[in-house]
Amino acid sequence: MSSARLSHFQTQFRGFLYRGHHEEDLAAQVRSVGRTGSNGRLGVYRNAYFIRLEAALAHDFPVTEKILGKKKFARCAGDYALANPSGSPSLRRFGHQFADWLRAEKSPTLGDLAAIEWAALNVFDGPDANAADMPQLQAFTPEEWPSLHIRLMPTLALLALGSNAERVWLANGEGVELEAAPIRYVALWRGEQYRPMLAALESDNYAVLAAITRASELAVASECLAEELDSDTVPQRIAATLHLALAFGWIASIELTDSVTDEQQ
Amino acid sequence: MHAAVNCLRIRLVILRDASSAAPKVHGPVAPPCAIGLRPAFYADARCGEIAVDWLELITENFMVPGGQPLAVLDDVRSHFPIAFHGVSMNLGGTDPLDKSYLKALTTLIERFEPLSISDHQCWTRHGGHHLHDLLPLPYAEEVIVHVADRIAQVQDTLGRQILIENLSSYAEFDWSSMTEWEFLVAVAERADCLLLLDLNNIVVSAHNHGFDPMTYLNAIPAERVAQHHLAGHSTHGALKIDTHDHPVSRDVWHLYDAARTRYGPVPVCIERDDNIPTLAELLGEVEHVRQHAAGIAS
Repeated sequence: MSSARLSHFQTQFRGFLYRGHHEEDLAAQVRSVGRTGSNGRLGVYRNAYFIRLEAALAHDFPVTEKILGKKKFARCAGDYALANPSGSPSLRRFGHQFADWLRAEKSPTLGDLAAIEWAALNVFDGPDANAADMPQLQAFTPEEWPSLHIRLMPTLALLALGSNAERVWLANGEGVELEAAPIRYVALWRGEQYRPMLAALESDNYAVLAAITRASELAVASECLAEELDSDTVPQRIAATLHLALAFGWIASIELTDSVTDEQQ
Repeated sequence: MHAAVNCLRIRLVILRDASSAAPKVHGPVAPPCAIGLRPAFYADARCGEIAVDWLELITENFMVPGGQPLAVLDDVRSHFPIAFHGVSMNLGGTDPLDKSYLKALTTLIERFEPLSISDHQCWTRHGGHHLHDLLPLPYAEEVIVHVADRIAQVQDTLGRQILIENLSSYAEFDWSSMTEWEFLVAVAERADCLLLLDLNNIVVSAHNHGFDPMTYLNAIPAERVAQHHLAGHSTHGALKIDTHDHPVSRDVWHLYDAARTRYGPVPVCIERDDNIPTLAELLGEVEHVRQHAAGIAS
């Protein structure tokens, strides 16, 4: 059974949805009944395509929409949809590149704001995990620390912002103007009832947590940190950050590297 | 009292049979009634406080790694039978069937044990791009083979029959060599799947393409019909659009009367996706379904 003709038909239809390509070819294949011609009939699908994607982004980035205004946001959504066709069966994933796209194509400050909103969505429906506690860390001797494998909570987001986007987000887009600012660091994580929590981070804490994200084994993370921080103070900074992270429930597991499975790594 | 017990028993039998051969219990029995579960009703559903027999969920909304959606569904499932209704299986597409999608669906099925799995007679993805719409197919012999074989593959993977829903459509194509209902029946027979007959979609497509909804209804073999959807629509210019943002319309209720007589008390779901009303208003439509059954019985 050959589906070549069907595939060609669907290529034409998709091209029409995206950019109006193949409109004449496609319209010539449509039967006209009653008062509505082929272009009017196909137009229903094209309008629905963009309206649906715009609505998905507006749902997922409500503060960004508020800051941009509905008309500008709709134009952004349309441009984004053309540049980033959906690769997921769920509309929930459609906006996964929106923050990066806004940074590159529109404004870094808007990108910051969208990144916070996207992280908040992941807090809502990201993977579940239990938080480790202080006794788990205290069970290891200082000699074992370099071999510790630290896994952060899967819904913890660490963001470096070049704007006051976190203040705008906390104010729900009202009363605070979004503007560029000296670099700042924030953590966003899952609180009670799946609510997103946000806190400012010192640069040291951010550096340690980012290094653990990149290389979960503490010895490797320490080597990375020694390149960007005063190497003599790295152990103290790691210890302080781990205490902070445990207090806030940002660590999912602490294990000796030998006991970590390939899947966990 | 005895009559009430019998009625309940028959309802439960129908619910269990929703994923096997079409339930066929004719007579004065109200069909098992559902609403589409939307976030506005999560709180009531988690407490079991919705007067329905089952709930229908959009499958893709729960294909998430964790968090609140799955926690909600755990609670809901402890109170209600559920059905998974998908919008992205891409049964009419020419991209290969999405194995990761079917794996995610299998995981959901194992965890929540739904009454039924349904999706649409359409295509939704092409060249790796998901289009997030239920796009129309030409009704041709080679397309029947293509769609039916993909449905059969899905059924083999899931180890159960699935339900295929007819679409609302706004365009038909010269390539078509048969009517939509002839196509739908041919696909169902070849794939040996069941049908979710959306009566609103029949009304919308009948208006848009100029056919008689009763002709459609009378062509569908009763043994294939396992569920109905009832919904509202909008009118834009000369076309009816399947917006699901209004109460069930009078012409859909009229068609439901005929369907109820022809197919018996198959499970019914009231769909509403926009302009969401109060729960009480939606349950008023569920009650309307039950009254229709009583009206037919009397």
